[in-house]
Amino acid sequence: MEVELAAFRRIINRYQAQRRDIAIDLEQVSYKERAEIDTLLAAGVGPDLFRVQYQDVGRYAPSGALIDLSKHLSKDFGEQFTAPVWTAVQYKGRPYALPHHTDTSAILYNKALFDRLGIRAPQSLEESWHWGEFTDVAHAIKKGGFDYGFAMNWSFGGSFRWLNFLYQHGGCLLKDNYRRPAIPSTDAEETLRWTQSFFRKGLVPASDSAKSSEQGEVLFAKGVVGMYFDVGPHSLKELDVNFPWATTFLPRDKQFAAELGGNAIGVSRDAKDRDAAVDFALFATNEENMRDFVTAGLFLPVRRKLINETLPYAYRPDEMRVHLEQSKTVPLSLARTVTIPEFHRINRVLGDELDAAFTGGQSAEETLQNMAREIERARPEA
Amino acid sequence: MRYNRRVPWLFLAPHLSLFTVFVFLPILFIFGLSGFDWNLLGYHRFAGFSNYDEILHDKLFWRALGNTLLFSAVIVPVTMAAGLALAIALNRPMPARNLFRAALYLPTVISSVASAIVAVWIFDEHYGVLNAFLIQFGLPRLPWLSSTRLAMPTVIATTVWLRTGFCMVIYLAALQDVPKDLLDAAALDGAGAWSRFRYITWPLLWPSSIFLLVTNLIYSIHVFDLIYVMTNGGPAFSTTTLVQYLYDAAFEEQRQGYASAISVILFFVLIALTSVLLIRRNTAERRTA
Repeated sequence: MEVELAAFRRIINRYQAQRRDIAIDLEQVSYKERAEIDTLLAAGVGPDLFRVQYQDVGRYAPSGALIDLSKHLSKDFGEQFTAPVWTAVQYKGRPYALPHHTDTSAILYNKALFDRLGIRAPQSLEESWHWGEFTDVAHAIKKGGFDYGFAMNWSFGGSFRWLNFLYQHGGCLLKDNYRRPAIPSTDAEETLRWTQSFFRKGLVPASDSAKSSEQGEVLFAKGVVGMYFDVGPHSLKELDVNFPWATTFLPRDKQFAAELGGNAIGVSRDAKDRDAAVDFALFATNEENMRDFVTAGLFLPVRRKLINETLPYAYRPDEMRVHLEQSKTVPLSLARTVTIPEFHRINRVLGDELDAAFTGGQSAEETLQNMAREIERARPEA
Repeated sequence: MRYNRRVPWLFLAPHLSLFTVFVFLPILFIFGLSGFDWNLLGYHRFAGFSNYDEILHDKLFWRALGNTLLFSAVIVPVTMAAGLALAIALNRPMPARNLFRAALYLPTVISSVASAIVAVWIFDEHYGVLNAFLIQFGLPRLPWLSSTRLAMPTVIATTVWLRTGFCMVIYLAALQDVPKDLLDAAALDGAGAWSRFRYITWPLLWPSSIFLLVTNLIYSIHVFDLIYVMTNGGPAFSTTTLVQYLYDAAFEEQRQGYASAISVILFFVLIALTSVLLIRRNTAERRTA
């Protein structure tokens, strides 16, 4: 996004005003082209620093592509950050990247429709809908003249967001210190059946499966769905939405749960001057720069001090506060699960199998057995 | 004049050296890599033939191979037949002939990703142009990209739109090489339009047809970007092709050795199919010589 690039440029300019001896080139590599970074690292010509998703830290750290930052940081350095992100950047107890920002899903809803139907959206975490209440609202939206109740954000590599429901229902994906699959389980089967029912009952479009090219924000803006899940309001900023809308909290069941999204900044093994690279990473993630970046780019801060501040967001600050509140419900065990070194393989399996369960008529039992078998294969030496 | 045997090699050298560095050596590297377990960034373990063994037992691989062969079996003949029909139609004088030729060829020169995005906007179930058109006529909306029954035909239809222009241009060039006096002589002898096409035009188009068969086969077996953007291999694997599966293995799962083994198999599938076509061409040429 252009605002993110501009925020990074401001950080670089501020840094270079202090360190005129250091030149910094900023290169943009889109999420879909991230294999380019891997190829550069494999060839030994990787960038000095790169932005890395929390889910990928576990992939880069064991191979040494990211350097261990322990010797550059004080022992209590991690206490400045929220527990899920500080957990996410560690591999075998050592930090391999510095948390930069996070994002977490919430529900964006058509306020005009809700007012017409007399639906009151939860105004606080405590008021979050339970699963049954959430599906009642989705049915009411359909009855209110909309084609579907809502759209999900689990395509485009976002299949791990299905785990929000699994954890809300009290389940988990891995057990035995994150070494073995905890599925099939009753919780997982009930969660899968519930999410399959979204499609069976027509609460979501069939095109909204885990491997589709459908864009939930477009369905929402065009009035096809009354609610959609997203990590922030940025997508709607670019669209022509001609009705009032607002944001509310994710549903909950036995407990609250939301996903850990966002990125950290890591120093690569190819950095020629590692001290300078670490110095810049520390600068980019300091309090002032984090505040500037998240408020301009519509992300959430990961420093403990900032999450309790009223941040001056450039767009829809009230919606951002909902996402910020929701981000406090990321279970630590979910953060650990999605940051194991093999999670990129597991995420792909989740996408494939959920898609087969949602659109191919594959049973919940077979789906969970397939997931478990592939997780065992992905973690052979665990 | 004295013939220097080195001269042809000197002319070939620049191309051959680039081919060796950027094509031949990487192919050899892929063969070697298929015997390893490698995640691109770190570990690198010898795996022998275990990647191939795993592929043989991988249901998704066979599904992807089946989808790829189905896709090719439709795309190759349909694009060639449509290209030939359009070439014949646009080879005769008609108003705005060049405009039609350009319009039909245009999709070939547009990037596949851009074309795929356009296709998504046409076929999207909810805001696509096609369903808006159907609704105007009181017809139901169809899930072009989200139904396991319709997704592959939709992808195939898009590919036909993209690829037919290329076939048309090759056939147009070939049609202009068909000697007019031969066709006139046949007409004087009483041959009808169908007989002139069947016994004069079609045999003279045969080299172009073989060229199109081979290039379309390679194109269709390599299809990736269009499907990646339109359906990402879904719904429920109904459009997962071999290259899509290979890409996922290499760059989503970071299993370079496994992906290399798939590409080696793909290499031999292509070699086998193109060899059959070229042997048939050579046999046919010997028969007519």
